[in-house]
Amino acid sequence: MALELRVGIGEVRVERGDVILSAYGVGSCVVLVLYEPQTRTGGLAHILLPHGADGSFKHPRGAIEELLKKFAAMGITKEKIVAKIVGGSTMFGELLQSSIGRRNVIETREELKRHSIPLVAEDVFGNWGRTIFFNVNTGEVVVKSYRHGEKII
Amino acid sequence: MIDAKNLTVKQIDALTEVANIGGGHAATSLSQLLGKKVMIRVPKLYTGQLEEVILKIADPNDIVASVLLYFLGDLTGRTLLIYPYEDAQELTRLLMPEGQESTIELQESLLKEVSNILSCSYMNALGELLGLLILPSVPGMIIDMVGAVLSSVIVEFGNEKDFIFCIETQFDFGDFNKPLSAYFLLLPDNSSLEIMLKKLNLI
Repeated sequence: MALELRVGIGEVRVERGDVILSAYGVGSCVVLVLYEPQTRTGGLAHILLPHGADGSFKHPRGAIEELLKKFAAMGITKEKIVAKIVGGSTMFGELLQSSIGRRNVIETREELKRHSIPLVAEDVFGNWGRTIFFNVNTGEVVVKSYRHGEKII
Repeated sequence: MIDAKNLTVKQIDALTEVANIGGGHAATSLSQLLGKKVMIRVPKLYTGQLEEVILKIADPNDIVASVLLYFLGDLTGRTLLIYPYEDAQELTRLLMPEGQESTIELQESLLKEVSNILSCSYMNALGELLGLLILPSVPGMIIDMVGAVLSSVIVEFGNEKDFIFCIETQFDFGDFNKPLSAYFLLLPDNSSLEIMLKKLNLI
């Protein structure tokens, strides 16, 4: 059994080995997964807002910088890293006019582009919640939802 | 500008009392609707970083039925009613007219309507008490993970701040050996929190 580590909102984690990084009940938040296949090292950030203060990991810019810093501390440069993103829903679609989920996704994509990290898979938008299990050993990301079943990206 | 981080004990007590009065009115409406006794718990006031508050309210993975309304007028903000999924199903069963075939649409409509009534009696009581005009929106409903619901409602609506203030009132009803529960969250905008405290002569 792999060890499961939960990553809460605004948290960032990088792990290697038999570990599952998880994030529960993701709505308008975006979960960013970075993976380096050769050494099987994976990181996960649970992003809340499109923008925010320096030193916080709740927004894409801060989260990616922190993830890359942690990768670097393990001797991994960003050239070998690929990304997957999940989330960015608009819950209560018809009632909430605001678009934070959408903007979270767009901002995260922009930041990845800025760092030249290829985005290899995504499961984003919609109006439902998701729970994410990222298997660091295989790079597989399992996305579970109550209303739209389960998928692997 | 009032800072929800630095509320005084007196202000917290007064807001809790206001929530108690709102909750009391809502409980009376629910009781009349169900023809059953409804109990309310002492309201809980939550302030803090969004991620901490969510964990205090519920396990993010729990499946709930949730009904959102926003309100406009002298006060602005939103109310969110959260029912654990089984409790929501049981509640609609209690409300279903006899001989009526139960469909998903009907269940959702019943739950929306009962939530609408609960929210409106709560907000009306607040309006009368504080001498303010409060107008509710139409209700929106989803059944999903509570973490996704809460985080989205809180961030999507506010001014993108992740420090939040909300008051929870828990209703218990039905068979008291195994009561059904509903959780009512009042999420006033920061400016409305200030108006409420002004009306209570606490700032």
